Amino acid sequence: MADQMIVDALTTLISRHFEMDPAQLTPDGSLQALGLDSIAMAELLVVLEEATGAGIPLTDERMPVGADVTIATMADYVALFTDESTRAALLALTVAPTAHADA
Amino acid sequence: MREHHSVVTGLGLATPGGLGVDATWHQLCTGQPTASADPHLAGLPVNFNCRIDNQELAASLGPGLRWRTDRFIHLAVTAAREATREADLDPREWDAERVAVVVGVGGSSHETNLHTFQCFTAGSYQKISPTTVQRALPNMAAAEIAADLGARGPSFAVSTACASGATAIGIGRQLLRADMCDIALVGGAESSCGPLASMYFWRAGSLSTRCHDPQGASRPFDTDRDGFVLAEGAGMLVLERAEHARARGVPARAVLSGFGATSDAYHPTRPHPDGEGAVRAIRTALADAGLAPGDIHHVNAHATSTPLNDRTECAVLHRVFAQPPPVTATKSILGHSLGAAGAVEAAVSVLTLQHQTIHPTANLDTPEAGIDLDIVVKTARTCRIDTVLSTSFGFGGQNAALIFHIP
Repeated sequence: MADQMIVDALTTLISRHFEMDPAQLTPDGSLQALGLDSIAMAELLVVLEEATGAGIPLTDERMPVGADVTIATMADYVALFTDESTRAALLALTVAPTAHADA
Repeated sequence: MREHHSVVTGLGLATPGGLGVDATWHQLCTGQPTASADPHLAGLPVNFNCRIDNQELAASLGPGLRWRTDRFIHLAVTAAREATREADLDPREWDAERVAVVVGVGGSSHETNLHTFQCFTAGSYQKISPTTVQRALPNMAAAEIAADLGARGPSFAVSTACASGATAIGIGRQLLRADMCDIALVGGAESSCGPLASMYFWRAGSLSTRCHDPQGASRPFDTDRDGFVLAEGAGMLVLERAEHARARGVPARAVLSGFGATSDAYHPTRPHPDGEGAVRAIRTALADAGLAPGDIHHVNAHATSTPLNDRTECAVLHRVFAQPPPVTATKSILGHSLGAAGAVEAAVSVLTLQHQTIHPTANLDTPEAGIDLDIVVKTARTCRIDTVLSTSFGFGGQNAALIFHIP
């Protein structure tokens, strides 16, 4: 069972960064089916690091791939690398939306 | 009309004058320059440019592209969508394999590269975005237009520095002539006016440093000009063979009747002192169109506002024309969008034919001694215009000339 707080934080981050309607995003829905490919997941980890300081490896064998990539499986993966300060930053993400940075 | 001529059936523009053809044309006719101080350039030796409103662009573009592509691509896609719509084309119905996309890009993604270099030098390799490659490749403007609209014919980038957009239009027309496509989406896009790009061009000695008066900085042909003003933008045109447009029942906005492309083979940044390459580009375009110099009613000049370019261009026009026709300088209002400029000005040339109106050149208070051209100033001039010549000259001595005439 994925950590709900991390699921909420990832949902916020994904909808904001990839400009997606949060209503499209369910914990167990395939992100690939929404057009978020492996590049997008690598990008998500970069954005997550910028937002929280958490260095989450891209090459770890536990990283979900392909059709298995959902917000819930990504939350499980992120949880492996989450300490107290990262949790605080993740929690902040779920309550304080920030402006989308311009490309 | 010669049958092998291609016609323009749609235009799309994203410029500092506004998003869309109508907004840009309106801005040009007011004669009001778009340059202003840019907070992103605060503290730099050049702190102003001509740029497009972020929120307006994001709203126009919609979701899906911004996170994985750079701004020159956003501008290109926005303009291509408008041009396609204006040409009454429905990508769900067209023969996708017969639609080509050619986009001129001078340079791309300087600011993305800056961020990447910063991550790299800090040893923060994991902070380098995995989208860097797809953001920064110059061919991606054409590729993303093709993907966005569903165009599966040839698509590629053309790069001739500040002539890129004009060259791309000419090359797109050659694809039509070679029967490699039935529809060509052609133009240029560039967004190189951020901090790093500004310093590149400042160090090259190209930019105006009139920081106290951004609106007065782009002043082609004026005695007080001191360089160009960086801008961003995109211009896209839909080209088809005349009979193809007729069969679709779509009116031609203009005929693209002449294209000339030459090289100075002289110096990386300085134009040839006699303008030899530029003269040949114009004469080649005239011959291609089957026109004599006296048939040209108006010149949309390259006119960057650098001391050397404008002086040379004046001499070039006097070499080609016994009496040069009325001239205007779009860059005085929209700034210099580099690889996009030739395409933006081609679109403006088509609008000039449609409206039978030449927009004014801003900031020409005192023409430099020896610049004896009929330059349209202060207010737009309405007169009979059957033919327009648009000139573009790039670093590297790469020249392009396009001639449009009324259908």
